[in-house]
Amino acid sequence: MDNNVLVTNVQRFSTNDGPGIRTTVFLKGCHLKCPWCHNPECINPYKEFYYLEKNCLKCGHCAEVCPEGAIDFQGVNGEFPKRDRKKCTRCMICVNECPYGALETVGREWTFDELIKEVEADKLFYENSGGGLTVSGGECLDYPEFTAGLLKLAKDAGIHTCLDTSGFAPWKSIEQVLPYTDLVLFDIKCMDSRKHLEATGVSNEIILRNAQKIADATKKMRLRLPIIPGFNDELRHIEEVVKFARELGPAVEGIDLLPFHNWAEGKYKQLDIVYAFAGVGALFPEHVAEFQKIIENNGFEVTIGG
Amino acid sequence: MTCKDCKFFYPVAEGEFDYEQGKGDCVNALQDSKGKYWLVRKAKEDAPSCANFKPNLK
Amino acid sequence: MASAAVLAEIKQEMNLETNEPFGKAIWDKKLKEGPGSTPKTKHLYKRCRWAHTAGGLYVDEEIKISLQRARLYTEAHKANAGEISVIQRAKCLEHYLKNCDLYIQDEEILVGVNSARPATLELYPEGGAANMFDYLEDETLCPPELYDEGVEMVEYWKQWSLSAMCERYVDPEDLRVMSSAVTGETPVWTHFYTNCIPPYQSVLEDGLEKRIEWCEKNIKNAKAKLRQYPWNGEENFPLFEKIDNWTAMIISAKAVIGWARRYSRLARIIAEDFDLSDSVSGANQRKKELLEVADICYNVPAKPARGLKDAMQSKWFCYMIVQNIERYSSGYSQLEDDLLWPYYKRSVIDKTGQPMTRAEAIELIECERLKVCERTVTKGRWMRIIHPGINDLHILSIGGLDENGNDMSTDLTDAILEAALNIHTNEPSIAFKYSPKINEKTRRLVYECVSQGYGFPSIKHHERNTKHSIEKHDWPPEVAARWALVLCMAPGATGRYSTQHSRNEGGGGIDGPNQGLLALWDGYDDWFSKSQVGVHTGDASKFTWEELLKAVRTQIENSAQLMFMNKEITSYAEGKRLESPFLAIMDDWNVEEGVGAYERYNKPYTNTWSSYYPGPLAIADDLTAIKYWIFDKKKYTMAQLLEALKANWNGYEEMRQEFLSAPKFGNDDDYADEIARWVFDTSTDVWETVKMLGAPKGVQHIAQSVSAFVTRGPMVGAEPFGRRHGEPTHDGGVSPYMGLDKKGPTAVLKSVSKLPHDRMKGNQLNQRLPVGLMRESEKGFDVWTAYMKTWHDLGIDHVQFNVVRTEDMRAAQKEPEKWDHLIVRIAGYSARFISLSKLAQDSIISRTVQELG
Repeated sequence: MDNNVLVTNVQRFSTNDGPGIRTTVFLKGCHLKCPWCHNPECINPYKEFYYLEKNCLKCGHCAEVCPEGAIDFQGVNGEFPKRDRKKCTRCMICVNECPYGALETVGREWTFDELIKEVEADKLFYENSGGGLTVSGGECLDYPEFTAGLLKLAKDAGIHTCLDTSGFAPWKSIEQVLPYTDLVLFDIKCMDSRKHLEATGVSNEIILRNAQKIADATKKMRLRLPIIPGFNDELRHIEEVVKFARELGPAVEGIDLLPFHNWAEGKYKQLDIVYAFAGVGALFPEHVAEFQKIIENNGFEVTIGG
Repeated sequence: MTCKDCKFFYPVAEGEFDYEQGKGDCVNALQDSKGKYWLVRKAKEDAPSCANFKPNLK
Repeated sequence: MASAAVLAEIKQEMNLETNEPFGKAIWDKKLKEGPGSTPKTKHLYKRCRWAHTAGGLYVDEEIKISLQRARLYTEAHKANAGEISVIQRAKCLEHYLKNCDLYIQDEEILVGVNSARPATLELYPEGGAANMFDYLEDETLCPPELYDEGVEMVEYWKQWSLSAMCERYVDPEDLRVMSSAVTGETPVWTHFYTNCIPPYQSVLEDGLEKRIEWCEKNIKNAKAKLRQYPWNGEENFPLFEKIDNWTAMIISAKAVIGWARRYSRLARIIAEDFDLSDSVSGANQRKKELLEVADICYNVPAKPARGLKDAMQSKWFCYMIVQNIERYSSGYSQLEDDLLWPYYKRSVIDKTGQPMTRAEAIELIECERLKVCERTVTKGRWMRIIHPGINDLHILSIGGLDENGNDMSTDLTDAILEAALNIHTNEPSIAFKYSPKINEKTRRLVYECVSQGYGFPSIKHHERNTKHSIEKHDWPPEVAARWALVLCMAPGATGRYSTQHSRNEGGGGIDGPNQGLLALWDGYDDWFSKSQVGVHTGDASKFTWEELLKAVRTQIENSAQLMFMNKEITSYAEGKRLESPFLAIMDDWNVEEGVGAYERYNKPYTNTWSSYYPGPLAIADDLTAIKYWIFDKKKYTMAQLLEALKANWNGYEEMRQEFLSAPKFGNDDDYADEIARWVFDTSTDVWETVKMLGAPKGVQHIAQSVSAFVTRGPMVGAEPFGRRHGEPTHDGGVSPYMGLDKKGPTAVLKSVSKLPHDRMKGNQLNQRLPVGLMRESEKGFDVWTAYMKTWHDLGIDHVQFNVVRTEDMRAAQKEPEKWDHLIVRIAGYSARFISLSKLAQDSIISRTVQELG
């Protein structure tokens, strides 16, 4: 069994991670380092903490209790405490000590019992909407036993299941999970492997191979295309993906365009991470209308926003 | 000149609900910051004419 | 899945050629062109005289009081001194309608006003001194030359007013408690606020002339009965009073016909003698319109409505009289699509009476919406304060199923919704009687209105509410099915017969949160009134859990008792002093029986209800936090908690954080939800135990907040669940506290579904849904439909939605002039965001939204 699997969020009424009204379980940890990532708190596989400036009363207590001296607080000029995350050993003493709830742990272990209870709570909504459970991340395939176990529990309870993945995983892991998966949501970031490596830190060769294998296993899948300004918001990319999708064959049920948005900016700030896309405007449906048309013309069902 | 002689004075016919001897309707077009409206007020026939007075040429 | 054909049909009807999501396309179109489907309604929207108040003040500074109504009523009251009260009331109405000023505004096709000038407020001296002084003493509202005359009137009415009469029956100590506003709404007679459902059908179908004949026949028959040998005192004695009532009805109905015909004359004079060249419709067209108005106002309400134009005008005249002139009464209650359907069908579909196109009908409905926005209202400051961003609570109802379960919505239902989409006003709010059985097109239009961020339609569970009225009010199924909301939340019977006429029958309420707090402080309120307003329930620092619950129940019983007593006192007094003979002649039961409008003895379809507002969830969250930390975890004692609360949590921040982190209602957590269930069951037990006149099954119980959740902040002390004194309270009847529902809208529905909806008449639930999903995505309707299906399956009473971006609200705070179109749902109604106080704005912003990544 996978050890120490951390869940960052169990999001009920999730409407962008597969069909209908769903509950999405986000697992913590991912090998890709996409600078536009919408869930930066899901990248590192260990516990971290958010700093919520709106709750901070600048009492300086966090600096006092930090055993590593990783928090700097001078108490002058109305400045807020500053954290040096490199020095931080994530002992979480400051989080536990903050009297104002300005520090908040992100990532905790959930038992299967807890998770499935939370997932089953919205069963009525799934039935009425064609929704269900989505396991996402981070990269949930980093924890194949855990993911498979959770998906199986849901299937046993008669709940529709989705796997939301970057595709960057050993086939062995995917094999473990597929029997309990009704629909795979498969991210395609770019078709050029060098460019993929530069942007995300990994090559896309394994990813594309896995896509083909999943399709060959006649698993239903949707390709999910994050459209990132300056990276892949170009016609050529879409044309390449469409070509690839045709090669994948009838397993591809549709393609979801996910236009870049900057809602994650706040989370970057709370994690003290520099956001590479600060100030970059969000893309709106009209920006991807042309892409939508191309995909449609090639006979694929397409959505904007999933 | 009294109200009775004014263009904006309208006698109320006998038998109408609001008929009252010696009284009639004074109807004016008015304007304020929002828009225009037409107002009817009760006026006495023999009341001295006001600034809005216009001779009745009908 | 959503039908593409349905969407295409709506787009075609609304002239919207676009591939974008419908909600976004229509939003953008309105921003570009301004609201309104025709040049007329575009113009009327631009020059609309919004009569909204905020913080109890009128937003438009040009609004002033006029004493015209008060003066004419006082004159007639004096002239008819000693007359039987109901006839005296009819004479007052007659005198007013004969002599009041009237006006018609540019471009109007629906006419009839309740004020001497646009932007003036009329007063009701017969209510009592408090309201009169409220307006007279306000220099921003009272022109100095009116002050002395107004004071003189107050002096005269001192002996005749409703409040003077009611005070006789109340112990001064109780009066002090009720006036403190801590335990609940202050008595009706202090703020002169009421509500009713006018039985419009009778006038639209019969015309007043026929109803006058009916009264005359009744008088004739009664007199013949008196002459019948042998004399029977038992039977004959009541006839005297009935004859008085019928006489008063006749006087008032004749006066209303005469008053409508004064409009007819005015419209003809304007058409024939005045310059109309600046009309947006052109002089010739405008002249034609005015001549048609003249024809309509001659015909109705005297005669039956010939088509939609007559029906709409006849209804408006009746509304003006019943809820603005004869008395002030809040609301715009009606089942509008059911009421107007025969006339819509005749004019728009069959073209057999007053033929018109569908687009013209929609224009007329848009005009009606604007007319409601301009209605000037004078009610006590207490009520103005809790109704920010509107002029009054105006809520009409549509939709629903008939007694056989068939969809009652029609093309008119759709036209009403399309008009609301076009004209973009917050008023009147629309309540939709929801069932999944209702056709997709109508449900789609409901959805599109919601997605515009209107906050309406506010959605009520049709079947649940119908069943409740059958079981608890004993209404026949065909009556129970045709309910409309009286104000925000309570269904009432519509039709011709025995509708609700007064707030004393149904309305009013006690405060939720304070009942719990009074149990902690032995009935003493140290935060607002600094006095003993509850009963002595003992020193809470020594309470066991069971003793605490008992004390809460005792406080609820005591506050509720004062409310019920006061409702019946006021009901008695308004029957003696404030009869409304015109309202009576509209109602078949009153005409048949010869009884006054406020009679409640033997009334067939009584609608006896009252509320908690704000709702009682605060008690639940308070008790939950106490149980969790004090009785289960035993980390704190009651004494420590009382100390922290006394300090308003100052110096106890860590403890406050812990109490805030205790389980909360709204997260699908049985620990908190079961305590909430106890609070609701206990309260409903109290309501059901009470036997008001004509309510053998007890008073029906509603939890709602209107917008009292903000304005009552200062009246509710520090709370155990972590709220500080002054902060807003729970914002709905059953809505979780803002920001404390951490698990999103599905978990909220699950929690809410655990409350005893079947036992209650209403439970107000506010939800916020993301703009991106609702207005800007193609799948919004499908997701929402599934959500609503589940809501319906769970048997939840009500839900209403805010669909608004936090950034937009922030931008509107900075540049209000650019955001006059921004509408938000407050509680029982929708408000223009820019008309709200900063505090109200902030608290709406801080409500949770599940922004979806």
